[in-house]
Amino acid sequence: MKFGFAFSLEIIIWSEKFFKEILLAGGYKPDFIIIFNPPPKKYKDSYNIIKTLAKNFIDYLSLRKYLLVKLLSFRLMYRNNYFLKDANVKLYYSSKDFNSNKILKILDIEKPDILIVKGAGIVREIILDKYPNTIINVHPGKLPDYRGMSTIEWAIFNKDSVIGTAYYMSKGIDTGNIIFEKKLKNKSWKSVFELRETTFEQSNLIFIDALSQLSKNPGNIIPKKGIGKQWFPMHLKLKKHIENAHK
Amino acid sequence: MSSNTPIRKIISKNLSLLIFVYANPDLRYALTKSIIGKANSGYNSEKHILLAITWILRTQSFTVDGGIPSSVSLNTKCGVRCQKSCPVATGSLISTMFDYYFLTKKRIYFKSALLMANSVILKQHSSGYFSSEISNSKKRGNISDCGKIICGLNRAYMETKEPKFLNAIVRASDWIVSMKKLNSSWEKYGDTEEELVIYDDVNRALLGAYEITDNYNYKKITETNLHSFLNNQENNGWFSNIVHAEKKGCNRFSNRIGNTLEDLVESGLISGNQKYIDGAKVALHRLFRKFEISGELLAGRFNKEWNSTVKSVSISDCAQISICWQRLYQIEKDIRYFNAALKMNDILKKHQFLSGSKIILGSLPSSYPLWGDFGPYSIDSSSIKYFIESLVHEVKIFKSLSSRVK
Repeated sequence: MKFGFAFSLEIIIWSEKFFKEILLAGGYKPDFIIIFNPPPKKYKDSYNIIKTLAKNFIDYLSLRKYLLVKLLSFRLMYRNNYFLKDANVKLYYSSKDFNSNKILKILDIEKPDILIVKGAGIVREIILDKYPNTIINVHPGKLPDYRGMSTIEWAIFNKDSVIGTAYYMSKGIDTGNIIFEKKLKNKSWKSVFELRETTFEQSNLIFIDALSQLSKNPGNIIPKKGIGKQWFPMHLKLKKHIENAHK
Repeated sequence: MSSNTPIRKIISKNLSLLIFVYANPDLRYALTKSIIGKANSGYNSEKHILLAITWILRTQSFTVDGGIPSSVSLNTKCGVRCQKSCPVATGSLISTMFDYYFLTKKRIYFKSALLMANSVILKQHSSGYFSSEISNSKKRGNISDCGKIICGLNRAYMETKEPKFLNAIVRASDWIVSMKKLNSSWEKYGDTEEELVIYDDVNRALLGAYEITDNYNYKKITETNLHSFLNNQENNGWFSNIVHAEKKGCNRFSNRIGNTLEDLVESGLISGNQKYIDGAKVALHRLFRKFEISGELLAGRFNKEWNSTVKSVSISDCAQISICWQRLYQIEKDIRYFNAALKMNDILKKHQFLSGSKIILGSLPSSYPLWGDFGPYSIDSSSIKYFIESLVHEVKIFKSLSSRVK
């Protein structure tokens, strides 16, 4: 079984611990790793464009965000390359996002049986059609009840358990076949940001569970109940509401 | 020399336009806001409501009869001009003012609502309809407009129990009933030339009148009308044959959708009939997904497949749909609709004029961009009405949410 990882640069920086110590040292060495840039942001109006440009400029000047990201990514790439060369793992780097033709070419070369993807956004149909039941993603919410975005916050709002789900990516949003699901701990948090951080860290570990599940019972799928609901980003006021309710 | 003439004309025309815009500070401000984009004011919803309500009070003081004009044009050579008061605009704002009175408990808003109600009944014709300068029909009234006014008068009667309001409601409702033909449609009035006419503003008005008067005729006529509504609903939630629908050159298309949906939801709530709410929900869910995916205000006009057919936005339509989502949240307890309404309200807040002269301060443009298809270069009182109502709903829902936590 040939498998690889495809992580966006942002994800790989945030999840360095998971990536290096747990996944690679845990006995699940991939055949290849693809690092790509996160999907481009859409600017809704001229005001937002000006605001974003101004913010980026200030970030650049103060050496806070821009340089930090560049330095971290460089350090990480260097380390991983060194480590991965020893482990005989190929490393690909794409300056474009996951939906680019370059990624498709890499996949055509590698032809993976399983590809673990994180931070890709909505994957375009041509990739999903070419690699059905291959691309695995972890969604921080119970599927199909919590499809979409801000699902951790929505689960908290509805007083439901926060469940992470590993599933095969398909054409619909979070509608693919479910491989593995696990309850995520979410008791001690002070802000929604903190809540997301802790649950995301835990949801990364579900990849390992999913891999172990697939190695034991390949093709095993958890049956879905209904089509569930698609959720959209939670409004800031509702986020504040759940913070206050939690306190 | 001759080739230079058109260029000269263009330059002189644009130059005069520029001078005109520069000379009109309100138009200059509104245009700048529309072109450059909108920043968050940092005000909370209560502050936004207060600014809009203050605009209503101020405008009310400008008119002789205590009414409100339907729109205020920014595109005049002598600066901003208020039109005369319009009974439809005034009548529909009565309940808005009462709502705000109950939110703040300040007597001034109660008085303002009463002044509006008194102003409206003065314009009632002996036949029962209300003469409106805005309506195209000169001989007789407009059924939709009459429905909107009855809604306001219903509220005025509920709050005051004054017989003059009851009398006005009965006369207006009887007039609407008398206009109904056997084929479940009304006679062709005002600005429609459709064969089958199903009015979408009158149902909750007549149901409200039925609640007050116990006249079964009002309820019966509403039931047949709403039945026609649902019979004309497509599987994708679209309503056919509504007045103005699919009519070429009509520029209030989604406004009719907003009216239809609000009418269905409110009628469902008054009558306790879930069918009406379910019918509205299919269409409202479509609009909800459309808004959440795009993150932008809904277009002013759609076709049968719910694809937008214009680029400009009708501000009042968007606010009205936001109200419908909030009502749907209150009924179904699906928080996703309230979440969408919060986002919609946030965008609408950015469109509110937070500076400028007394004539525009606190108001909202009819159309986005300002020169769009829906009342270009003007302020629309219905935009302000639905904007206030939507924010009042938001404040109320948050209060209930926080009380639930406590």
